[in-house]
Amino acid sequence: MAIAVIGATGRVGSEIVRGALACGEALTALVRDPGKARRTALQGRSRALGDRPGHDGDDRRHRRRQHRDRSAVRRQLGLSPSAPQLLLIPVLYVVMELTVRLGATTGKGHAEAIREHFGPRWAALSVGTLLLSLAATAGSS
Amino acid sequence: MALGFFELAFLVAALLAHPRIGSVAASLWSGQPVDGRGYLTLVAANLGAVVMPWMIFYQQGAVVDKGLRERQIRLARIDTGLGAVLTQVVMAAVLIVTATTLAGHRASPLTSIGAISTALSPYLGAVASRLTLALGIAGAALLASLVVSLAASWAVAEAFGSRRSLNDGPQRAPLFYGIYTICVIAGAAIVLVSHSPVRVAIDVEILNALLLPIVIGFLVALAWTTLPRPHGLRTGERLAAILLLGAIALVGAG
Repeated sequence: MAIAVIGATGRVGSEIVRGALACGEALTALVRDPGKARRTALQGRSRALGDRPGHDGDDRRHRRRQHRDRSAVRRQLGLSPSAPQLLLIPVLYVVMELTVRLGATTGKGHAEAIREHFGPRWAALSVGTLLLSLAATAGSS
Repeated sequence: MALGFFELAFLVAALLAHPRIGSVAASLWSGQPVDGRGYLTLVAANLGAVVMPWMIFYQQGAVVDKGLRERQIRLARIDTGLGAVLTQVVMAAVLIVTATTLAGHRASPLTSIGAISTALSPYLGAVASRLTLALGIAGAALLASLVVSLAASWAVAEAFGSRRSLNDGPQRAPLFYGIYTICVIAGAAIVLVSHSPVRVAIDVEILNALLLPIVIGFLVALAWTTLPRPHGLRTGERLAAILLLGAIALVGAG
């Protein structure tokens, strides 16, 4: 069952949230204060939608809050993880470039080079990490 | 080679999904939910998904097997750079497709490929959504099973110092081809017995992130000590290598 709870951080709302989560229901919580939602049972368990209709206070503060709330909404909806993707481009490049350079200049494979320079034990450790991750990767990909 | 092109299907889907360019751009720079532990786990998984241990073994083995020489390093660098950008753009496209079409429409978790396909279909059209996912995932899986099995075979054969070229037949390099066969069969077996491929995928990526400090450690140590003269690490590169290692260790520990 899909449930939407309005005022999910309030006295009654929070009880409903707790109960629904305990029953394992999918939940959408509507809250005015995303910070409060994060501190309560909602944390990490559901998406929180924030909005502050009719908030009283001066305009600038109101706008700032609205902005914060909107970005909170956007966060919860999960558009953002594409940034690490772009940050990983240089990481990926550095790692792969080193690998290519090692292969092309020494003419040796990775495990082979480790065996020759650091000894068979280290080579076994390195191949061991590879096989451990592969045993899992080949299954999931 | 052609298999990889199927992944470009995700780029087409990203455009078909009509994301608001403004919000995509804005989300790149702000609004990273860095405060959540779940998010940190995802970042670690992301790192483990992008920089995988087998890549290093595969790449170095492939470079040697193809007989790439020092003269070709410049071209290989361009190739590597293009590859790094393209793979991450494809990955971002996958995220944009799912985020744009799903944001605000759905609360239930996407724990299977079928669920993702069904969730996408109202926005991309049933056929387009199924075709995009099927082609993208089939391409990735075929390529991965090929490459991953090769990486393992090379590494084990290298560690034992036995024959290991694709140019040798199975009779001349039995260990190499034996491991290769075992990998393919074991991979299929794991898929057939596990229930939720998506969950397994995230666990694997976290495992990879944990193993990464060891793997990158070996890579940096090798580069530090074995690269011959004109290709040795420059001061800036040594610094970058240390920073990289530190960052990877931090994410792995977190």
